[in-house]
Amino acid sequence: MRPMSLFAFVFALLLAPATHAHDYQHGGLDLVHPWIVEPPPGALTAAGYVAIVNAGEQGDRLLPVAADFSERTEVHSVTMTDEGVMQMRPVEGGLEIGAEGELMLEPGGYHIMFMGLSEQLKEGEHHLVTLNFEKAGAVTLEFVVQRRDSAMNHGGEMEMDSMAHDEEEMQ
Amino acid sequence: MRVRHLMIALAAIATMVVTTMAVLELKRRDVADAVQSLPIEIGGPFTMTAHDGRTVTQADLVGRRSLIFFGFTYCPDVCLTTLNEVALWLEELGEDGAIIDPYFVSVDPARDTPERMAEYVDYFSPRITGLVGSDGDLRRMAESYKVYYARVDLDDGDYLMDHSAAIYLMDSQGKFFDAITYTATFEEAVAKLRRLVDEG
Repeated sequence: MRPMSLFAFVFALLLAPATHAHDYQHGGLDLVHPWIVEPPPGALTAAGYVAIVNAGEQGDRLLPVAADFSERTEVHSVTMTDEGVMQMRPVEGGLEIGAEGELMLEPGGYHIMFMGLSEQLKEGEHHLVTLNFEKAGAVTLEFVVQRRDSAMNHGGEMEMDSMAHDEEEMQ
Repeated sequence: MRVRHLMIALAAIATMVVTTMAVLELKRRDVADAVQSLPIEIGGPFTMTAHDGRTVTQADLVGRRSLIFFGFTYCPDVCLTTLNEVALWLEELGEDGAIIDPYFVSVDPARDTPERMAEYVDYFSPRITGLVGSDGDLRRMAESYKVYYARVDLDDGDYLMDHSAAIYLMDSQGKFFDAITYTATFEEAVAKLRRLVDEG
């Protein structure tokens, strides 16, 4: 191996995480690892997640989301009250993404709620979902369907992956 | 005279409203107390239908160790996480946890038929039993377990359910032993289950 190609090889290796298959750039936003948790058979709903990192100096807002495999698609919040009651609610008026900030859609928190699934979503499939941003405009992403094989409080691989990613983006 | 009657009527209505609010507030506190200051009377009689059609009552808990938690299959985030966690705990415990029977109780009997529950719970673990019942059956079980649930209507005619998210650990007598809250770590939960098996 010639020295130059070795350098190129190492450089490509270093670059690899930044060119992750599920990392999208859109209007100054970095959309990290869009995924849908595989719903059990017969389920009428599914939840989708993505980390939105804004490196820009201008804030933005996540507005309505659309997908053609569900009758209705909304962004929902999850709140746990002091009494230990879980409340899921549609988010009204969009979600703020601060300047040089981030918006995490993740299990147990904000999520894209797909209601009235027209087909059974299966692990490994890719489905198109359109996110609308107030400033950056619309973007259609491939969400990958994955099993929820790890618990939320014990560090899911997906979350670890996107966290590691965010750190890279922040540097 | 008319004005006076009206005043009395208004006062009566106001009293009713305040009383109702106080009762509702008390109920909310009951739920809070149930989770926070343990032990309290959680558990008691219930009659529900399992996803395979058999009837499950409080008597089925005797001689076993049970996990009782509430949710609905239309919920794609928290309930799915909870069921997934329960399946992972069982996997971690292996044979040690063979005496544990987890019960996932639907707070959405209108949508959760036994068939839907069967598909849903089996996806996570064949060890989990889905329970459904009539509105009355569910209300009685929720009262026994001090569980809060309420329907929340969405603009488009659809609805979601608010519900208590804790997992109750019941001992071999079907009495309350401990609870695993939503914020518990994997390790904490497994430790509580081991204690339930050994001491419950």
